[in-house]
Amino acid sequence: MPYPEHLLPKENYLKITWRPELCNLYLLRSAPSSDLTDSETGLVRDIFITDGSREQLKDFSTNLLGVFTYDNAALEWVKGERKTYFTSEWEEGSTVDVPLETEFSVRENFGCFLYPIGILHHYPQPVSIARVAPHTEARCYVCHTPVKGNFWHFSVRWMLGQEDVEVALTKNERRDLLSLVKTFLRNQAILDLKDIEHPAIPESWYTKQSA
Amino acid sequence: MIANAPLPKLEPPLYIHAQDIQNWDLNGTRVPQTGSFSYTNTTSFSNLSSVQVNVVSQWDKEQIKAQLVRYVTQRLNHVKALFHTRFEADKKIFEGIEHGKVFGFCHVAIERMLTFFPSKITADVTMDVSIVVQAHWGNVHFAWETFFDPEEEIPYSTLNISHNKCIIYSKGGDFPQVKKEFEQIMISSLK
Repeated sequence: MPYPEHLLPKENYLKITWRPELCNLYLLRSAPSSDLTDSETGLVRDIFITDGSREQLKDFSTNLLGVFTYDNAALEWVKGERKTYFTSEWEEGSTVDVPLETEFSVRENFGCFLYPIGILHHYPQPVSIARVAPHTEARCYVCHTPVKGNFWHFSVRWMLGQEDVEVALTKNERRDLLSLVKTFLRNQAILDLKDIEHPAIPESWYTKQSA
Repeated sequence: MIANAPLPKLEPPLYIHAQDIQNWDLNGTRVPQTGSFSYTNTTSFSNLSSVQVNVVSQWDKEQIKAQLVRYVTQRLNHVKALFHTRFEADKKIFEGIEHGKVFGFCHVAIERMLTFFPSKITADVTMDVSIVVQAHWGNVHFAWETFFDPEEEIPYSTLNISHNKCIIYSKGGDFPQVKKEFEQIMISSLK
């Protein structure tokens, strides 16, 4: 199967800057299993929320639902140099290679869940880190971070002022924040997708408009 | 041949106070409670010679405690088994960590939370080399996460409490501190 062209950035594409209308849309988080739910609580299992990487509070990786569809969540890069290429940042105006069929796979067993951008953007619990003055609150940002293999990649990140939490916090402060963030993400994950359609993303948001 | 008939559904017994029976008469008056005809005061059943006020078996406290312990033990074993299954599926996360240590702290957290009879309880591993025990009391949700590090003898824990999806409490400390914090919250809420 050829790689879905609608996922690739084009030369005339622009990065989507923040606008309030984004709050009406959803970010999709993919998972390597269709069995996402804890049978006792009905909530998404933590093992599918975070990936254990040190960067996850800086780049919680998601996709903007719309042009990116539920089926696209099945796609996975084959490990190697080309994966590094396709997951690296895309620069506006640049062209990208089209992935070969040997460079990606389509998982048979996969799952996904959604987060309303409005909920993330209005993350209501800035964490107070009294030690780190003057930026004592860790806030949540939703950012469009397109990569060469996926224009619809969005990052959710938590920062202390302009500082990366990885740098600004001690090990235990980071654990406190990570636990709180995971609790927030566990509570807010939407697992029942049947009533949520792929919304239309206005082209004016991401393409250069002719004069 | 008489065909097998389904057993009649057992109705709960009707409890009759002896005083009511003494008021029955033979004129067709039906006692509302039983729907049966009454008898004269001179006809009384020998087993009604004394007023009976206890119509159910009376358990002593030890019997009740034993039943509750059985219930809690059943739940404990279920959650432990669930956790063990999940741990085995992803034990590579805990490379370098003594497995017995993970199970030990997990079991303590599960047992402590079960003491307060949550409506739901579960235990799971996370990709952050931690375990999380979650317990729900209605729409108040507790998440007790414990992180494991080979350099730390006593693991670090966090406790996050949510109400209607909104986080209302968040605190971290070493495992014994968080255990104590949890107990104080629960005990104070029961007063």
